[in-house]
Amino acid sequence: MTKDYDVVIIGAGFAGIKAALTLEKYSLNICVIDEGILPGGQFIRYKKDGINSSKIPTYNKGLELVKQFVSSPVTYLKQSELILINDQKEILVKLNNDSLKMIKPKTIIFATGAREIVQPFKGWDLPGVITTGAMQILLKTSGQTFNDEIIIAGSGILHYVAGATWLEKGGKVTSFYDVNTFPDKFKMLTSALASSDKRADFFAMLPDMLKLQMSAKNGYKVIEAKGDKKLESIILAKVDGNNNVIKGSEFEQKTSLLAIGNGLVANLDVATAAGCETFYDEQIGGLVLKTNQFLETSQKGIFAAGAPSSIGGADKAELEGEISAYSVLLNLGKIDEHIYKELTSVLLTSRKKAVSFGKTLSSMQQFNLDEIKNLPEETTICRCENIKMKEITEAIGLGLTSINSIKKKTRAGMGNCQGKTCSELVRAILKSHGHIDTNHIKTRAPLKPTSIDILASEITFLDGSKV
Amino acid sequence: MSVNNHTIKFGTMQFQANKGELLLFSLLKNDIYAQGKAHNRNRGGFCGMGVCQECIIELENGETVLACQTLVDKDMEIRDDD
Repeated sequence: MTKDYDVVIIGAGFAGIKAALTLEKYSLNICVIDEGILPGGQFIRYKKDGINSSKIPTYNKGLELVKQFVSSPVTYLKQSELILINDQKEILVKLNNDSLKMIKPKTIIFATGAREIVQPFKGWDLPGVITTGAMQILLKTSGQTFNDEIIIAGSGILHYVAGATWLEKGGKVTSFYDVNTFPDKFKMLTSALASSDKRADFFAMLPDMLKLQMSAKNGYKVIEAKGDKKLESIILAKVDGNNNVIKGSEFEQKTSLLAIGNGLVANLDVATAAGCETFYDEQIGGLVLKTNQFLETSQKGIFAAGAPSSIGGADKAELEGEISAYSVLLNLGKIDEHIYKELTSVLLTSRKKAVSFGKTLSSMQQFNLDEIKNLPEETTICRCENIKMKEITEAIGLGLTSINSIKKKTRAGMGNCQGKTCSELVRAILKSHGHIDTNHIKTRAPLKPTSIDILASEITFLDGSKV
Repeated sequence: MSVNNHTIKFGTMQFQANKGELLLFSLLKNDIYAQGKAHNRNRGGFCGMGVCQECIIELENGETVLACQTLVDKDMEIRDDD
């Protein structure tokens, strides 16, 4: 007899871990699937035997949750990739020993987090150009810097946090460029201070942020990366109040490392494969899942927590992890509506603040559509398949108006990453031509690159029983 | 040499890495930026979180892994076709 899972949580970041710990108290069979090497997602880089506490209170709170999580009886499948999921809640997962397992849970919580987006420019695919998220992850996991010099650029807040972490670890920031002007940043600051949890984080990071701010150049952006086989220099330009490059302001700066980021976008490949519907609202971070007041998606018994419902950071992820857990309990009949209301009322109020903070973040991470529309023809859009801007605009010229039709025509999105890097760029290019696509790029099993011999191997349930 | 160190070979290059550190970190720290196998190695780690697939490397035993999703836990030999 196979073990019947009441709930499968996809993702062991802040949202997923909080959901698991909340549900664990109600004697349910819980399974958490995560592709990371260690639990904690991209924000909390938990090391079993390493020192990785931080000055930032939210981070340390997350670290505590991870510690509770690893000692809890929850089934935790680490370094495990979802190969297939369908609208019948059937999940095929590849474990870290390369075996294929089938799970059929009663309910699912998607806590799949977000990934970083970068507005493309000529040469952004050169080695040596990394995202500010990658920079943060490498710093947090190792506790030290990895290059003598670094130039940091971007918009929003992530490049600030990454820069502050680099300084905290004793690194030197050669230059720091911010697309946003000072009034934008003031708006961000006041929104951050309006949320109590963020206030503590903000003051913890303030000394390093001020150090960054002293050398920061506001209203600049990277327009080209140059180098033979790897990054050697970047071209920067000043931007006007509308985020457009001021002609004649371009200058070149030598560097072997550039960290750049323009915000976050939710990971929805797995959720859309399960049939969850999406909608597009750039105020809350672009493409997100349709959810109701219970954080339930368009698919009954499937819930979303954290970035998949809207971009909003760690606080929102934690709150929604807990709220979605109570919704699962209500769905499974473990609590009644009265108890549900009691358990969630305070959380829902805090969530409003977190959502509002997310909106401020998202307002600063929108692509500049004028620039996107006029990207140089040879700019790479799909990095995996090496598809250039020219091919995308030609496809649009032929009358194609969706990410999926452009994928079929040009192969953009057919490579190893399955469109995770380029699909949102194609969406922005389409938008710059007046076409709004509100669907996720079509995903196909296997959702992750998987060798044929693994795909051909026997599938069993987690307890080893035959499917 | 401390027991916490492992030897990493990347093509003809060789260096020491600490046990438990991310392989991508070890490579970047040793100035190996173009690890990826795609497009004549003109690609390297970009997202750091297992999304972009650009830091994919081939170990001597034929196994392919993402450098950003691999912790150094043994001596490793990485093929360099460049």
